[in-house]
Amino acid sequence: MSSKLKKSLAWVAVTLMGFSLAGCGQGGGNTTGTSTGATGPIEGGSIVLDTDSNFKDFDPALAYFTTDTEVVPQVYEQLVTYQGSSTDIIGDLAESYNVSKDGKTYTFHLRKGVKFTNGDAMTAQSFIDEFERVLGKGGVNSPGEGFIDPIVVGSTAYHNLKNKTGQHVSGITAPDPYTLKIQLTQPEAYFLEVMAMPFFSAVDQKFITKVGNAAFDSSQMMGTGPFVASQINANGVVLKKNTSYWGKDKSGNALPYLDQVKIRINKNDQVDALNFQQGQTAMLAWVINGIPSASLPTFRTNPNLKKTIQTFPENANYYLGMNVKTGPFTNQKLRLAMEYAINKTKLAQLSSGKDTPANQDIPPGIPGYVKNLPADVNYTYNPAKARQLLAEAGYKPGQLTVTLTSQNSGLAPTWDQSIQYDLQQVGINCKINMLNNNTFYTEGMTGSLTLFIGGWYQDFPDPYDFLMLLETDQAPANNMTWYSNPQVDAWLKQLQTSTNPQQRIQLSKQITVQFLKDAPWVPLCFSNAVYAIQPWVHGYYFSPALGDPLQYIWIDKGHSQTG
Amino acid sequence: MSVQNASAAIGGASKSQKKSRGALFWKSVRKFPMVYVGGLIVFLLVICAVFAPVLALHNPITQYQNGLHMDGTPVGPSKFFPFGADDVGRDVYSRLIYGSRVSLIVGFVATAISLLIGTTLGLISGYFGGFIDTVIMRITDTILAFPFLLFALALVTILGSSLTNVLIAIGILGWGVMARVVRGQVLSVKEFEYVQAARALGASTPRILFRVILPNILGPIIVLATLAVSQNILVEAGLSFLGVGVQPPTPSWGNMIYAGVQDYQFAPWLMVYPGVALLLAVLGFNLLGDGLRDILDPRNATH
Amino acid sequence: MLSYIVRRLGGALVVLFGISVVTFILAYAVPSDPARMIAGPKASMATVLAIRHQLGLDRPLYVQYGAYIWRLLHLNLGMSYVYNLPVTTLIGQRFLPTATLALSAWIAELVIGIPLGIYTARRARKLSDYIVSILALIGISLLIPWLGIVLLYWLGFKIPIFPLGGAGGISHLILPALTYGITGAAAYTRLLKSSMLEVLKQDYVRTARAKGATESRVINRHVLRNALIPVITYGGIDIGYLLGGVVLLEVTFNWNGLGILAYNAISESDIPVIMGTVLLTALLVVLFNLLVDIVYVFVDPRIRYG
Repeated sequence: MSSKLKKSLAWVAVTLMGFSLAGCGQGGGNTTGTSTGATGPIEGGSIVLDTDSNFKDFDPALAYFTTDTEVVPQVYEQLVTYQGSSTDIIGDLAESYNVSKDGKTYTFHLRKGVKFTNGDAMTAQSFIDEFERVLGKGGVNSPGEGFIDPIVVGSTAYHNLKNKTGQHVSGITAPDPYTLKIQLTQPEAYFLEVMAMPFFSAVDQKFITKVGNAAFDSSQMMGTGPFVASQINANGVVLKKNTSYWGKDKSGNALPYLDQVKIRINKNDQVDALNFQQGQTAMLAWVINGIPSASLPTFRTNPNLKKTIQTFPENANYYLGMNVKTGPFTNQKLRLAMEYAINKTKLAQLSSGKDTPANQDIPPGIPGYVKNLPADVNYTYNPAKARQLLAEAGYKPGQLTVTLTSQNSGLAPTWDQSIQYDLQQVGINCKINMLNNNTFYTEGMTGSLTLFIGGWYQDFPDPYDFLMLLETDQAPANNMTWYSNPQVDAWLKQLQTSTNPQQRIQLSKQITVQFLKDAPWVPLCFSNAVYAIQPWVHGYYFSPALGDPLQYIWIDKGHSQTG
Repeated sequence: MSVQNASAAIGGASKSQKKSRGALFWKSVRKFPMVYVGGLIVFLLVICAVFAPVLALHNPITQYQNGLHMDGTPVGPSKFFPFGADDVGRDVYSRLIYGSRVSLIVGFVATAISLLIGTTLGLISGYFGGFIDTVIMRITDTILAFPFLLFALALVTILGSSLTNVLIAIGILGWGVMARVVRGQVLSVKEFEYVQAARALGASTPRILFRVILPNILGPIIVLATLAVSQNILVEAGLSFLGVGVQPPTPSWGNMIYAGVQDYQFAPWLMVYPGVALLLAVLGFNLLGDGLRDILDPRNATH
Repeated sequence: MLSYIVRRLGGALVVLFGISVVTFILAYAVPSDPARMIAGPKASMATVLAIRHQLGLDRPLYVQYGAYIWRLLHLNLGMSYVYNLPVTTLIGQRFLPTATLALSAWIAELVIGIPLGIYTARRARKLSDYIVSILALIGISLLIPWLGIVLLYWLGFKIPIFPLGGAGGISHLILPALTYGITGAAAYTRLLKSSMLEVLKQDYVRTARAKGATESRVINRHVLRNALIPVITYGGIDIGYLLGGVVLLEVTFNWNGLGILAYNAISESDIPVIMGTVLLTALLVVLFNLLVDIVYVFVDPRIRYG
């Protein structure tokens, strides 16, 4: 489970975060991170980035994979977005918005005069079309569907229609071309964060109809964003500046600064790291999930490379899931033995410090993280205790053999072996079964895995986003352990609908303690993003949910790259 | 004459002839020194595999805390770890010794599977000719048309990564060349007098195939098999490099290289030692096979 | 002669049928559910079933095979589940890069293998013959990615003469070609050596020597010309295999060609792409074998085509 796994694990998630209705959009980026230089941003220049994975989907309704999420938000824009590296929501294509008192009606006032790069005007219809596509119009099977169905009024009915032609979602309307009204069935604290997801971008249905869904997804991108995709092929993607982009920085300069960003597919991430060391690429950041673990020691020991490292907490977890419905792990004593058997410190060490040991579901960067867990559920590495619990569970040493399933990418093979060894030390034989990502999900999401390494990458910084993995309703797709506790379910329901931050933090703690008692998971590690950014690259910041902020990046003169 | 006697006659050689043939063999071995080198390497490899527990310094799957630096990187060669430690703190030297087992098992067992299928089909095809021959040869052509590594990769992915499945995949995909060569050899010997004689004496078909023809075409088969062993060891390593070979913690040189490639920049020993071991093993079988081919080649007899 | 060619073509057709059956079975055996892959993890079971129906996955196996062949005959290899593009497009994008790589690798094999073959034949049984032969065998005993990474690290990074992989011009081709040449040359060396030794024994060579021709003239005019025939045959078959044989080379050097496409497809269970690439590479092998056989009929009068 490399970073790769973690992002592909980000199947679903939701956020609460209370109503941080942070005023209206100023369209400016918060350019912390690297030094901004005395002169201010310099226009022009090109950069090259490497990625070790292929692009899969360019259709915003479909893109949900790390590599794709680097490109899609550059070409397509949403109603609202995050302000710089903060979790505050600001307007994007919506100049302003308001929410009704009962929290069930959202009205977005769109920017006027924004055009798609083919010259068509962006209007409320551009969003209505995309909402309908996410709900299945034209045969699109969007992974974003669950984020608006059933919460948006009429979404379920529309989704279930066999023939959607001429039909509309009753809860999404446009009183005039620049006003979009969305009605919800119940208040949802994190609805604006949902609207910041690239699934809900402005698209030009006329254009899509012309090129067809398949081409729109694979080779023909066309949006309102700061960049246009000028080249898409087997070797990568070339983004060129959208010269008529509406966005400006704080000083009123036109965005983006860069003329071109070339993203090359170079499968061997070791070579990608070498390319960066030679100065041929600008960053090892989002699109390649940071510095490859195996290169980290080199980066940390070389003084020049060390200066390029930037670390950001990533709000992601890894856990060892145990199937509580069938197989040996229905035995709670055995699950408790597992909690003490795993050496998490070593797992963190094996990641070269990219990850830190975890003791719960919610990462420290998210409200609801429990700082001081009660001692009885704050499990730490203790093989002697694990052996004792194994005996209490009714197993003699060496009697039990389990199969650990994981994906076969990144650090997973190394972690597998460390866990396997830990288990052997306490008297549990362990076989390793490594699967490719798709097979892992085919098997995992039908709930057929006994013991597996899972992971979750936030969609929003909110406890519900992480705790919902424990909901009975989420089994087996996201709750791959089949964990089910009616008390936890009831608390989760409250957590979902409550808008009182204090109450929500209390609920998060109750859920965390209870689920650790039941022990369907061994929390393994929380992860950090460890990026490398060349000293001549400026304006970088770590966005909480979107890829690299390419539109705010500028470079010193003389460093232009064309790869 | 009973069939028993006939088959003795079929061997075609009296005791004295056999002796001189043996002498000739050893004489040619002296003329082809490379076969010695190859034989020696293969012998050492077998010793390594058989006596692995004696030769290894540590348990190959024990993860030593002192095998890793604080930053998670493996420690280099030292007294305790002669060839350094690997990415989870195991002794590379001991894993290398045990890894010889996987390479030999893959080399021998996968080759044996191919040999069994290929020889049987080749014998049948060449001996019966006609429609059976055509059918078998078209099947052979089909299997030979697939790119070996790609097909093995797909097969192991479908069956699941494990030593057994690697053996099966390599074994059932690698028999094409064997079948073709055996068939050719059968065609050239089946009209010989001793085959005719055995047939005239009423020997059963399997008996003729396996007791009469097979012994007489063993030479080329042995050469082919030896070279196939070297080939198969490399294929296992290639599959491991693509991530579908023998699964950890069982050490194989292929999966050691796969894990080591990542760390080449700061821990070159992880990749260098298994790479050299693999090279030596494959070279050993290649030298042996090549040498045997030279010895058995009648054209070289006149030299 | 014509009937030989016709029969040879017939045989090739039977093999093509066999290839299509094997490919189909292979795809059918892949353990992940294509409908679930297309639908994505959040889709309901009803959506998955609908897609399964749409793809025809709920029909009997022989019907599916029939539909598959029908599509093949229309040069339709289906749509990639992962990329949402026709497989023919994906293959089309990558065919030329792979063909370029394969051709360069092949040329490197010849450039290294043939001179060594001549050298060892002329020095047969001398110390230098043994040394060169062992060197060639060392080459063939090396694991391609291992050699490739060592070369990349030293000649691409430490002493940056060549680019660090990736597709591109001549400079990008040198290291992969060299890697393949080193690991593949021994076959040519061996073949040429034995065939030259054979020819050197022939009467006409002795005659030429007796007539006082210089050694280099004997080798160039008389020996090589005849000794190269089996090498060319082998070369023809070899290049047929190369297109499917450069997977390791492509993965090692980040060469985005058919090999990487197939490798990714296998690891992502992208069934139409697996079928398409395996089918294409097998087809090329059959085609090149056929070509070699037919050319042989015209070149070598000793072949019987009864």
